[in-house]
Amino acid sequence: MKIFRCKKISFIFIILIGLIFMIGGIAPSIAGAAEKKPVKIGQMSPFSTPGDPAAGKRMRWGAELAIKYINEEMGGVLGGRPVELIVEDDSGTPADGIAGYRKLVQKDGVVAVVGQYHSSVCIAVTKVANDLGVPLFSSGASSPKITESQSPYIFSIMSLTPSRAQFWVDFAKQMGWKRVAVVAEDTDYGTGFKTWVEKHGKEAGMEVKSIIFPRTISDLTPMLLEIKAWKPELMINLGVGASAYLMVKQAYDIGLFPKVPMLASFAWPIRPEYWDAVGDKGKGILYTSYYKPGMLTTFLGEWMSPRYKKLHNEDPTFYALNVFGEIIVIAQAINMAQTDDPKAIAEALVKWPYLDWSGVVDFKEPQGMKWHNVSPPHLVLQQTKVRQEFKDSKLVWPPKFGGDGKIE
Amino acid sequence: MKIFNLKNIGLLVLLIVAVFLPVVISDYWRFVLTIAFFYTIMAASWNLLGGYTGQFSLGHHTFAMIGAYTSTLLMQKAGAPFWVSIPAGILLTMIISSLLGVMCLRIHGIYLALITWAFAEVVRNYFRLHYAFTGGDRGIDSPLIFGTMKPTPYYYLFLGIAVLAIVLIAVIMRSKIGYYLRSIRDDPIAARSMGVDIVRYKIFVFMVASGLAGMAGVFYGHSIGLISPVMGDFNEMAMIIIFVVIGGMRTQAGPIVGAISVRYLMELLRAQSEFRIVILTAIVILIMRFFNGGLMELFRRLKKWIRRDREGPVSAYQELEQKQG
Amino acid sequence: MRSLSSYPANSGTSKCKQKEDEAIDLHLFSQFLITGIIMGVLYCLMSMGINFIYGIMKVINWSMGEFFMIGAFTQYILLTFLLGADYWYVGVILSALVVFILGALVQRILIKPMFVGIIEAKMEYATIVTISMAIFLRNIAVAIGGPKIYTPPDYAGPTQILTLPLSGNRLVAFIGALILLGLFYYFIKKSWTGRAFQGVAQNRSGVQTAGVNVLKYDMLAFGIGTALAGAGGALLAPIFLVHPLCGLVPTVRGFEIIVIAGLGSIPGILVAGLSLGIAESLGSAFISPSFVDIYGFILLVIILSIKPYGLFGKPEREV
Repeated sequence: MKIFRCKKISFIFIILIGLIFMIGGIAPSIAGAAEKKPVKIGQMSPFSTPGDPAAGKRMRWGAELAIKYINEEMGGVLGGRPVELIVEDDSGTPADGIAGYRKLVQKDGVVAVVGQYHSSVCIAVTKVANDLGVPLFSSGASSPKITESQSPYIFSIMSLTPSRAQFWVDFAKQMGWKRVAVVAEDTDYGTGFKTWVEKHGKEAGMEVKSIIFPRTISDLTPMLLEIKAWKPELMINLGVGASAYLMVKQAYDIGLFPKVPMLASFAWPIRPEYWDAVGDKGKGILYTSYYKPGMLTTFLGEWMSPRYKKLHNEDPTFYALNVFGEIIVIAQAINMAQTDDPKAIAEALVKWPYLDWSGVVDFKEPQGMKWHNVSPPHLVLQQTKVRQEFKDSKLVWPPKFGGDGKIE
Repeated sequence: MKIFNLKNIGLLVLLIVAVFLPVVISDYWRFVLTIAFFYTIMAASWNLLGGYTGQFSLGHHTFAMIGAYTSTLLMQKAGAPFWVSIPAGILLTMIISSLLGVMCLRIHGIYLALITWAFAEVVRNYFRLHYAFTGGDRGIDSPLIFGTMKPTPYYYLFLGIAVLAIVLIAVIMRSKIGYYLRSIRDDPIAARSMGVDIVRYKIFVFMVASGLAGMAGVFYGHSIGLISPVMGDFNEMAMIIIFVVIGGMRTQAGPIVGAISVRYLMELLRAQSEFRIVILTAIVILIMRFFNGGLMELFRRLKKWIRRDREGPVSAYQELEQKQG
Repeated sequence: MRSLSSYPANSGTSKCKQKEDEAIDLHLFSQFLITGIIMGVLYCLMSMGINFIYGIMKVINWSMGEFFMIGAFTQYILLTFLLGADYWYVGVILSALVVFILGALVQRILIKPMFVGIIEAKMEYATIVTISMAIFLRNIAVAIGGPKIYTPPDYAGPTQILTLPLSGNRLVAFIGALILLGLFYYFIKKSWTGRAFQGVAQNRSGVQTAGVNVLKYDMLAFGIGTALAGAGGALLAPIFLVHPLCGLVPTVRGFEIIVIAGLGSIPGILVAGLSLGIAESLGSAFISPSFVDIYGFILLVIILSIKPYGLFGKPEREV
């Protein structure tokens, strides 16, 4: 034999593989029948590439707090049964998502699944959810196609792409801006918003110029140079993660921002890492948010935010809050349904209104994309100082929450 | 060669077990096995290409993606029925692969890896960026071939095409062409001087392997119900390599054993999903470094250890090796 | 500047036509050109490392992007916790050193067996091991680094090159890359070690008979190659930001450049790197910036269909 050199190492390593297999096979059978059987709730999010692990991890932090809240503050569900979280990875791959959902439902016996983030995975899993009848919550996937399927088991508590796009166009119109540039990443998130901002912008009589860039980009200068030459009055930053920060930094370097106001598509400018990345250059950025600390949150949101910040050293992101709220809504629905049967829970979710972190959640069943969808109100805020705290951000719009319509 | 020797009976028993397995397992495991069969085809066909022939293609997953998208787009945009779109998808992958083969198989091995890799990136970027047509990152709905999401029919479909693909590869490797292919890998210059038309056989095997990948991809799309550019991600290619290396490169059973056992392992490791890939790649590095041959080599040693008298080769390659030396 | 009237109100369907109508003026064109040149030189650094390793050892290191990432992370840690922004150049040198040691270790443990006779198919072995290592390191970084994005502090203010307003960091990285490339070239052409490397690249067994320890030079070469990537990561850390996937784009560009240039050619790298940077910029300007990832590949396909071994490459001797 030519290659069989290190006998010891290879044998240790073979035994290791064998052990992994064996433990994996035995472990589920040991977990046994306890007196008060826990009710299981599943979270399926991307935790590994090619998905977006950053999003999955933050949602998990939110979900863990929700479980803590239910078990410690609510005293469990159905008269004292504890709630258990089972976490699954969908890797941002539809097939893995289907396998994960089947595992959660058929092997673990969860009563609901939260945490869907990638639209492609969510659309594929919705089809299985139709068959298996366990409620599925889209916590970060904003494609209108998801709710348009009108499956009785799909729920979402978030603003869908078209309504957020409409909100931005209304905002731009109110500010008197006629030329809007959209710079979006090539994910469903970016291209969806590009399409809808173009559509609503045209209806409002605006000129919209949009550029799509690859998600892994590191140099946005060519795109920004072209945008600069076009002379927009507002620029919408539809990047996620590194590309969003790079866009701010590079737009500043070529003299585009802050001359032209930039609107971030969600509340990333409140993160400390944003300020680490852009430094002084990030001052004055506008951003979209669903809440502002001190307003618009329920006692649930008040309970969650400080604990999240303490544990993870940053303000909770919308997705983390959303998953937190969804799990609490499910717990309430279990109590209302008086059973842990998933189908009954799905019915109960539609029948009664519930409370989540931002307000009352009432799932309705109209035709089209608003099916089983509850959208929190949007706000436009501005970071007027470097490293400004979330609670100190300036509220710009809309007036009904006290926005004065002025940017600094 | 006797037909009813121990090996063939064993294979038959395995097949019967595979046919009756869905009776005893849940839908979840049926689905997991369906996906494992898909990867079995991918791994076995890549083993034909990268293992036996030494053409280290890094664009194998892309052919599955092209097949899946072709068939789905034909159905969604042109209203073609299944019996048109599925053969069209397979045919297109074969045409594209032979064009790519003509372009890059004449040059040095490392260039093939680099060019197929570049090709894979271009195709993936195209499907992502031309979202108005392809659905982009959100993906595109693929009509279900059996009209249901229940995994049982797809299990048998994929079992069938996996067996078909494996038999086809086995036939090729046992034929005259098989020996040509090995000679091309081991010593292209000697093969050429012996009168083997290197380029022709290289392109032939490239086309067959890519066609098999295309076929697997077409059915994959029609059984998942949604295809997205994730199919073209480099991770997929890395997974195929992981399956083949862990199973045993250049063995016929290796890719099958590798794909099924690693997929099983991945399902068991779901709780540690962040470390799944880390563990698998570490195993691959260790296998390559210390134990070249994978699981099949391990089985062979075990067999040798149990039955000291009779030493059976696992692959035709080793059979040949033994006859020679 | 472009006139407003040349833009129809709807930019959706008529985008192609609109593109043809507009003339890109000289100012914008020069800006695109300068960006292209700067990016081209930065990509060269990455490519040079891959190329150097190939030249000496005849293997491709697919995990180069991960060494880039490690360099960037090291620079971040050094600048944030130990050195401070003023000593960024010390950080670059230290990061390169760290990556050098790591690369040499990897070569010693994983790649060296290729050359002492126990591995049959070398190309295959190296490809599988380095691809696995790339994915291994990337996922480890995801697990350790978490979802956060890190940035070392800025060390240079905004400046202006001709018509292009520019971040000072980028100018610094550009000049740093040029200096590194110059030093590398000098090292290879003038120093004794460099000449030994040239010898190893040309004829391994010949040099061995002349008393050069080829295995030692392999380890050095792998270390130096990865250190170039690590230095690149450190230089670009404040520009590309530091996160587990930050090495992805530079690696892709690095591979494109070596294929265009031809494996093993040092001057080819500069030519190919600059033409890639410019092709990307001009493609962005004249066609569409969305397809910026594809222009390099198109250039690659054109070059290869004319010259199958790249601009400066020679057919491999196969005996």
